[in-house]
Amino acid sequence: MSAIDILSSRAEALLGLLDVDGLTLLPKSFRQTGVDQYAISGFANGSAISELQAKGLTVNVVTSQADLEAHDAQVMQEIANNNPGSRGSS
Amino acid sequence: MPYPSTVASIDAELTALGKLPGVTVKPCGHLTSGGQTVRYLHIAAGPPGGGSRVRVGVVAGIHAREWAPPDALLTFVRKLLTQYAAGRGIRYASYTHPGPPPISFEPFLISYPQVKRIVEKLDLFVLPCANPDGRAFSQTPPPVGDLNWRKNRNVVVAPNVGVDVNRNFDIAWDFEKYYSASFEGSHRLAASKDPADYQSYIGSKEASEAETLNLQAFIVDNHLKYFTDIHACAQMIGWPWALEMNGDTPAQNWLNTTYDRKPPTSVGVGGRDGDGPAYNEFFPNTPPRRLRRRHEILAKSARDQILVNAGAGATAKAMSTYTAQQLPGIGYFSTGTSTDYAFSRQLLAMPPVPEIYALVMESGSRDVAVDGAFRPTVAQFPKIEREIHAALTDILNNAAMWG
Repeated sequence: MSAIDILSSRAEALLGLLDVDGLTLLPKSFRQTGVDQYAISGFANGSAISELQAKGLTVNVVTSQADLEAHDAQVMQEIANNNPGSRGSS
Repeated sequence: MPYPSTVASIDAELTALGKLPGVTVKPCGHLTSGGQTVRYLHIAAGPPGGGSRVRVGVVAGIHAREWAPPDALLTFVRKLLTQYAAGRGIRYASYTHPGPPPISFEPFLISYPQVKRIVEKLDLFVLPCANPDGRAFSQTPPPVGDLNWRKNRNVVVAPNVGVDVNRNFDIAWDFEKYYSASFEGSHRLAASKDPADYQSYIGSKEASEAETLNLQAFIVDNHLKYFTDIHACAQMIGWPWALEMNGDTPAQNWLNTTYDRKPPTSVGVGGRDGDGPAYNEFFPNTPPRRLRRRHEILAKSARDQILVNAGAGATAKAMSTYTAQQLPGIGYFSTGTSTDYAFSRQLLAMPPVPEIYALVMESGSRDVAVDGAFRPTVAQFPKIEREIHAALTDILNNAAMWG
């Protein structure tokens, strides 16, 4: 998964994306970024990004899959540090 | 209690806080599907209020993957109570965000008069971890767990697991009944009746989940006048309604079946489609209370306090800039949410019996490099903690002053 922003000049083009496989959308991130410019954020795998682009949407990768995996590895280590012996919560 | 807290460490901290003067720990009545007892704090320290304390509730952890709010809520309570006992304000040291590049946030102070006002004027109810089964699962490494898990862990329709607790409250729960048929075609609803939906399955019926029943009882049985639900990660303070845009017509309310499922018509029925003008959900705003205006003031004041406490640095300010808005904003609508439920309690009688204030705080940003999105690192957490503490202090102070 990568963290992405999805951009469009039409607000309605950013609706109906909850059903895209491989995309975890953040509905509350829907925002107007300028005159006739709208954006919404989420986390997506490669096929979801391709599907979004095929819909004519602009996809900006904000955090790459590698960086997100590194971030997650760090937080998992931090939770393990707080919960020795069980590698995760009780 | 070092961040990120586990369910066990949250429970231990609740027990420890419960030993402080004026604090009691209370269990909720419904065990989760994983067998957990959800507990909360009732804080009424200081001189007896003679029944005049304002009843305020704060909850966190409804969504499993949102790691920071439960921790920040508990560190706020501990700072509040220990500094109250010491007769001092709460000092926050300067903080350097890791960046890159490193960003400096200035020190700030929550004054002792503010601390004293909050502690002595409020009956404060704090429920930090509403969905412990989900939190434990989200903190378990894959392939067993799932860091992105949002729902609870109840098996409603095997093999599908989990209900979005924040779509399960008894407030316009059945969106197919509430909205006009044409609304669904607009794809503006963040709720689903598909048990396989990864994020927003609403459950088999309203308040079907133990976590929801616990929170509904927390709101109703404690007679909350102010309610705040802390989430992540949209950098926003929001007010109801989440299910429709706000309006002034008392008859336009979720209980009025005249409007169920109908398109807008010239005779004034139907039209629950998020677009107005045929229908907007009734939100009282008449003098003297001006409830809608006061919600806006509460939210904007908390937003501004977060920004002030970030300090003078331009980058720090930019990183701590929140919006304040009615919940749907320009995007998606939601049914069955905690905030709408809390707010709706005052409208069950017509004419309405005000006043209940309900807010959502969406803490931190979705930017992984800034706030870690749903799960900040240890180094990122203090920024979100400061923001939650700043907003809470402001909301609680206003509650104490407004009564």
